[in-house]
Amino acid sequence: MAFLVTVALLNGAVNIINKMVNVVAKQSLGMANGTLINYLEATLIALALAFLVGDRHLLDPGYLGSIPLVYYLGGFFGLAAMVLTIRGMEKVPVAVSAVVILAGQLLAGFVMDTLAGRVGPKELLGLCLVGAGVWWNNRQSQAARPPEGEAAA
Amino acid sequence: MPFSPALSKATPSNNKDRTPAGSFLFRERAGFIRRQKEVLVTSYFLLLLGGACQGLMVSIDGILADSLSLFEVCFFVHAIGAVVLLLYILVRGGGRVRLAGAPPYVYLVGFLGVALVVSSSFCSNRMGAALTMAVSVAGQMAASALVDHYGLFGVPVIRWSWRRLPPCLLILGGLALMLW
Repeated sequence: MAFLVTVALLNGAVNIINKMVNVVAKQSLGMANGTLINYLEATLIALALAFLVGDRHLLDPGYLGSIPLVYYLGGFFGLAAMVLTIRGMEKVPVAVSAVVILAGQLLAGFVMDTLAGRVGPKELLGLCLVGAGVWWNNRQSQAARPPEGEAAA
Repeated sequence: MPFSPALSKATPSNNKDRTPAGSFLFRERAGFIRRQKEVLVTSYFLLLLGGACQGLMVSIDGILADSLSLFEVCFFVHAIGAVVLLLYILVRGGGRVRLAGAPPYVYLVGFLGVALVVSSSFCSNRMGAALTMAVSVAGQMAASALVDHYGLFGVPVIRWSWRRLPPCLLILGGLALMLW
């Protein structure tokens, strides 16, 4: 479990770096092209790594066809998430939008885990505490942010 | 325009607002505020739905990892997204695909995308999507605090203060409840 927690923590850290780099990509190439380069590169890298480590399922259409189609929709949901959050953030302050997005993430994750029998009331309480902590932290972070046009020392 | 008792209850006690012109302006202002509220509610709903889609993506990828390797899961996630994006650019975006012209380090973004999907699928498959995202959020907050404290990536410097310790403890408490 400690290893899994460490990987998940690193996932969060890499997420921040990924967001920063994506901002620069979108500024240089535009929203759609900046996102496309991310997806295209990751597709090719993942394909190369899959063959490098010896995975051969991609060469077996029969096996791929035996997997329910709905399980392939992860990529579609990821893209939909990006479009929806970009549209939503046009009118909502960043600090508030981060908390609302998190609420959606945790809610969906909780529902899916509940259907799989993985979580109960204790986990729900834990999620609520995490959400409350993020909201509180975001409020303090926004309060500490220097006004626009000023550079903090 | 006849004087409206209903509107008069909503207006401040000001003779100017009780004129026909004042009533018209009041209705215009009330309509504008109502439309702004509707836009805000819609925006909140879009954000909630976007977050839910992210949660679904993490959960579904974790389930797919039961049948395929992590790199194969990552391939399908990004390949499907790339196809949809390409179609969008060709149909709605003027048909111009432009991938050159960004700073060199931007072209490493693919490795970051692979690392993200592989790690989230790995963790989601073994400990569930909700716990994976909760721990990932804690990692994001720690990384954000570091980036802000040292002004990395050109962001304004925001020093970490002890006032931010209580929300961090709240998050750690929530994670502890979920883990044990």
